[in-house]
Amino acid sequence: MNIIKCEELAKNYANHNALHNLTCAIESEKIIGIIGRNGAGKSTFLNILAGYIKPTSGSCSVFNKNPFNNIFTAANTILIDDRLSFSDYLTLEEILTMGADFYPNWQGELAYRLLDYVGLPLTSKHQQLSKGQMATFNLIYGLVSRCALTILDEPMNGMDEAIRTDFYRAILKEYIAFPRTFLIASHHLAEMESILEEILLIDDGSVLAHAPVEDFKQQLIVLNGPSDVLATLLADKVIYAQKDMAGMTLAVVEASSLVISEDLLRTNGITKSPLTSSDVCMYLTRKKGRDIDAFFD
Amino acid sequence: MTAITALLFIPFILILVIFIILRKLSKNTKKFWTPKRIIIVIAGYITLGFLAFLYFAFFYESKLTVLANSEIKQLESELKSLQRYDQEYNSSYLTKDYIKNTWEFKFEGDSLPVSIQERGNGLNFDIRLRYNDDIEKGKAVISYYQFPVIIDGLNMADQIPLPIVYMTQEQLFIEPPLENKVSYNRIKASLGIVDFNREVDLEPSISLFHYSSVLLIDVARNTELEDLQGRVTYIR
Amino acid sequence: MHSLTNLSLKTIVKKQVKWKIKLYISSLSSLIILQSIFGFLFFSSGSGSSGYGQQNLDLNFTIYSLDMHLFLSVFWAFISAIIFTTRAYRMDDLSVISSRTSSTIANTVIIMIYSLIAVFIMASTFYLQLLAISFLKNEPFIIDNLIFSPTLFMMCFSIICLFGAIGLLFGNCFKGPVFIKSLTSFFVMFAVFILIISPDSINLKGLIMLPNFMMSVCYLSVAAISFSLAIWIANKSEVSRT
Repeated sequence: MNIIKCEELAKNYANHNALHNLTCAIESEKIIGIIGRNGAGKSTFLNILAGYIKPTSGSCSVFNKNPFNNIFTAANTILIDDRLSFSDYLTLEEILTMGADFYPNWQGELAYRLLDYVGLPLTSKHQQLSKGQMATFNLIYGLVSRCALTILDEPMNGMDEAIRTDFYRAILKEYIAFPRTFLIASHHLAEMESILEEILLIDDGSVLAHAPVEDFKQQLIVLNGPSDVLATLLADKVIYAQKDMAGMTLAVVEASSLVISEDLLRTNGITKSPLTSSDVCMYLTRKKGRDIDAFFD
Repeated sequence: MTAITALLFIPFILILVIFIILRKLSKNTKKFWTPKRIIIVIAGYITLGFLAFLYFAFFYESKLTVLANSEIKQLESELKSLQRYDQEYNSSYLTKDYIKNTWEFKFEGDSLPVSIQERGNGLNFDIRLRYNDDIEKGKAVISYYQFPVIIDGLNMADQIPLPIVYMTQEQLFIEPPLENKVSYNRIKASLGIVDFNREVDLEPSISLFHYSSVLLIDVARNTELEDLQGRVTYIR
Repeated sequence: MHSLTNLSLKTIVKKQVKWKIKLYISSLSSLIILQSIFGFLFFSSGSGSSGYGQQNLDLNFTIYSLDMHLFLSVFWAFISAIIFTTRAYRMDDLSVISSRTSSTIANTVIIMIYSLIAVFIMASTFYLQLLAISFLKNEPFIIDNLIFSPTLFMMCFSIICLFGAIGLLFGNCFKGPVFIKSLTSFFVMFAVFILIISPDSINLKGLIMLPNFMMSVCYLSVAAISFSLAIWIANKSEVSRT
């Protein structure tokens, strides 16, 4: 069942278009990575889903309702980002009490245990926490609220690696204990890949790819072989990246475009190797002709 | 216009400045001033205010009380009748109730010269002469009758100063009193600006009325009063 | 899938009010401080005075009425309501189940409750100031009326509430959609212009002449309109993080 349906979603600001023609459908009870470059429109998209902002055009439905300023979707959605703030009168303990008062599925015990695990004293104030501690607390808050749609926008920003690894596991454990939809926007794709089921790649305000992680990874492949053989083979193909060195060429191409048997490749001295999902993202979203080396050559 | 603007804007700016200072301070004081403590302070403040109210309601004895409208109306009609009697030269309105002070003087001979000094605001009371059979010859009884003076619903008769009356060299001197300065605080749990605007149109008369005090000189029937300034009126 | 949470707007507003009433309490303490400072500054001058000279009696009354206290409470309500719509407060709302609508309704309820408490604080300051004067200044008091009449109480409440409502509306206007922002700016400039060129065109005399109760009804009606407008604007507003 789809809990999120977006069609032709667009959001224009005075000086730029954050989203245009974004269409996607997200099924319930999945952990989905929302991936994209800086300024691709990830946060705008997530803010629309949380009901914070209104799309300029197109339609968006969350739990079959328009999420904008809707109390039903608000009750079932939580958006955790680095701007989450609490009154400076409240200690962490009081914040948890408040959360318990609002969210019906609240897991107070779990929150206390997690806070104890990461060593955050209950008596401290939210504003006094360091960047990493704040992110940790926010993530705990988001996890224990157990909302049917949990949106995490860069949840691990500022956390150290050990805590990050722990919390990827915590997300997974929570997901197993209480299956729900997680949308996680992050630049640390390699780290969280293991817990993701699907990847939604946003670029330039629209969806570039939406697929299960394995399929996503297999979208692109690396071919390595003699330059002249590869040149004829890839003559009419889209090449995402190419590097020539001593008569050998390394090229990244779309796997689906390559209709050639493995044996033929081998006989031509071409090897095929897979890419990591981070690399796939990088190549898919890299602008043509943009090469940082070119600036320094 | 500029005065009104200044009056409105200076407090406004002052309030804003206080607000900004408070907000800056509150950042540092939030550790101690938890909502619970603030609630206690607010409740305490309101309770103290209530106690202050109870003090005024039950324990504060005000020397002056504001007359009720009906009492004022009654006094007003009484004073109107006094005026009528006075115009008819009838001394019956000068009852003992109104006597505030009496002076007794003895003099020789059949005539009593009266000298009336007018200073400052002049004489604020009437002087009346009455031939009284009960008084022996060579004696003058001077009585000061003070009638109610209603200012803003208060009877201020007690605060009106007595005239200066004395006798030297067989001559009676009457001088106006020195000014008596009195200030009072009034508690009006209402809005002055609203009351003011409403009162202007409603009851302008009730706030102030009085009837001149009378200084009565009683002498024996055959005595001749030498009225040097021509201010004394005969009354039956 | 687990069943979805279905909380009514009323439930959310109730919960928000429950927490906000505690967390916004510092605004009431600032009212106390404000009242105390002004009470101290204008300690002995009272709200007005009148003098009479009769029969060699120079009588001077210093009148202690509620004008200054009400004036302060009204400004306080306006500024506090605007502060409730500022970024820090709005961001705090996002960390719990809320919508702009529910937050504004909760703010409306808070402003009404705080206005009521403000009347009590105002009355307390009045009596405490009188008590201080009676001990420190050796002049007798005349008690014209000591007790707030119920209609006066209602009037004070309604006018504080009204200015709170205007503050809330004002704050929401500047966070609302662009056309509302421009409309508000235009309206404010127009009002200032009118005030400068012909201050006499605004005549509240007719309103003042109404009995207290009717005046309260007028104020409360305007307050209700302002609150409704604020809620309507909030319902159209996006979350602005600036």
